[in-house]
Amino acid sequence: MPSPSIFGPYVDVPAGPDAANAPVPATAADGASKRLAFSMAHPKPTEWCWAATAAAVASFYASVQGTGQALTPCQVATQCLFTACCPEPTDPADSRNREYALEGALSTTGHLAQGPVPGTLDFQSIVTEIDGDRPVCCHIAWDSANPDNGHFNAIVGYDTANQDVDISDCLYGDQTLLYTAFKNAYQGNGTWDLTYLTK
Amino acid sequence: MAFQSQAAPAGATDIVHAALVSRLQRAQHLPALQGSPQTGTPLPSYVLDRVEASRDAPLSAARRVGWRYPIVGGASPGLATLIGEQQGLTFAGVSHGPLAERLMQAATLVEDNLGSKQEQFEPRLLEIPSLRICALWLYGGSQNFFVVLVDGQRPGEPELQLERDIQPRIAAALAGMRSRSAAARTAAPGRQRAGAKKWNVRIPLLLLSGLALATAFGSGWIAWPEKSPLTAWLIELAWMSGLFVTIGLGIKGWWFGVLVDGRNKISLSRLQLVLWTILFSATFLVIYVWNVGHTTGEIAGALSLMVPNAAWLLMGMSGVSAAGSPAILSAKPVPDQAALPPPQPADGTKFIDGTVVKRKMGETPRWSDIILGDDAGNADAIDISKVQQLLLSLVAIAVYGYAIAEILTAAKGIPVPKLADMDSGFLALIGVSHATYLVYKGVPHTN
Repeated sequence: MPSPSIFGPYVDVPAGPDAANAPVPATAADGASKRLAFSMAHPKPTEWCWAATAAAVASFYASVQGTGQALTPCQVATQCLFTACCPEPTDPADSRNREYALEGALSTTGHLAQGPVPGTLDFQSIVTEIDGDRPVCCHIAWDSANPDNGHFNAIVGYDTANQDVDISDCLYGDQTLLYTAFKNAYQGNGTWDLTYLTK
Repeated sequence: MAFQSQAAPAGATDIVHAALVSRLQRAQHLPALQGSPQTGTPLPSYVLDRVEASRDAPLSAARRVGWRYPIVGGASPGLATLIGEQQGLTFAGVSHGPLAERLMQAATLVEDNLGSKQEQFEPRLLEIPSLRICALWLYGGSQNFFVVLVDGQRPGEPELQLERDIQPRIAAALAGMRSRSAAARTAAPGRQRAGAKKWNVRIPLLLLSGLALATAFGSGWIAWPEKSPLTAWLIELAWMSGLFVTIGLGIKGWWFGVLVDGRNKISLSRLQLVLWTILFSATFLVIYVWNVGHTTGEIAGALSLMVPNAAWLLMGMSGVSAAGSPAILSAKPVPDQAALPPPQPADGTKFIDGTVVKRKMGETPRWSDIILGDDAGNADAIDISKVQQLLLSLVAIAVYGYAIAEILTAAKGIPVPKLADMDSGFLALIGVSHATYLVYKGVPHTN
């Protein structure tokens, strides 16, 4: 892909330490990191972040731990909405393009361990969950006055050296964000307000 | 020159580069940092919340919250984010994927269409997360242009286009949000379907109507020709069945929903428990109300119905089967990962979880589940212990139901003193059948 001149001039990112010769961190405190083999589909319906997140969690557990079955967002929606949702509806005005509680979708697929827990997880708890091969799902509130107006995504990795978390998001793609930035300023003004532990 | 970028705060680029360097060791997870990454001129990032977006001139309310640095030269385009202002600039993270790719494509589109114009435009990023809108904003003072990168749609759709006004999109998104808000508030947190509420209202109504009916019959307010509680009992059986159908429809969406277990299959043990529950609930309800209405002594005496051991045993055995079945299945061993995978069922709606057969979510359970095996090894075979259990249970329910009908028919105008008893030999047969069923269920059928 050519680099557009509108964003130029471009400056090289300085070379970092030689990754191949870098010391291997011994503990999390020394700078451990991990990212789960987790990928999230991008469903066509605009309100299906809950279905995409629950389907990605189900597919992760099916492929990594062999529990349950891999699912697509439309299969999750079919189960939760009790109406056929495959293939995905394309019309934003379709009645199936609707919001739904993530705890309902996760418990329907059999992967809700606990939640929604009000508030966030501290960084060390995230490390514990990811080390246990358990993605953590999050609700982002865009508008504190209207908690229904939110978005779901999942924490799928961490880097203790930089205090980063890896985020998988059906709308904004994969991101590696500073933990505090994800918590308080996701996409500028989003706040992580609910947590869903998975199993 | 058609494009003039807003100057980034002093030191901002150094902060971003230092942060990216410290993350190069994780480049295997950050495609934007693989290869020879370069950062471009940052875009100021402006944000609107829902309230601000609702105003007449929303763009005037847009707040700058940080900067986005385009990253090129890696395995895929990326964006590095800096938040805060001058003294409090903080690196917030790096992203890659459809948003960054769309931004690069949008920039090329803008260059092709606005590059030769005399006016100057300042590239910005406009984000309205609550409306799922993100756009490249070409700020020109008196006139603006926009290329919408995300508008609720799947990233990458629809095709990018240059637009003079973004307010129609904002208005459409706000209207859509308002129309969905009611549905969002009623979104059930569990397995309920969207229309479950109206059924849930009907359940207590059915319950109350059944109680009223039983009271009316039992107390003699409604007199029947034979002057016995038999007709009331038959009506209560039908009413109790209707109650279970209503619950199944309301919670699961199928009239047989109460028979569907956690594996999305119709369960034999649930069927037995439901049938015995209907029989005993209707019987107790009608007899107690009848006895109270026809007693000649104290009310307490009318309630001292003698229940033979047979009744407790019949109800208890079906309860043990219903509780034991899922416990046995959940304890089935998980096959060795190194071993050959178990055979998949011929029925494409089913799949194997460990060694246990389950049906895919969203598929409709089938009545054949009642007699087909639960194990990967016998998923497509008729489970003979289930057939035996089904037949004996149906016979037992029919025989015991007939015995109750006989007792009720005999109670013409007088209280019913005791429930029907059952031959101990037949009870033993039922007990052995339940035991066989549970033992067979627990035995591995998968090699």
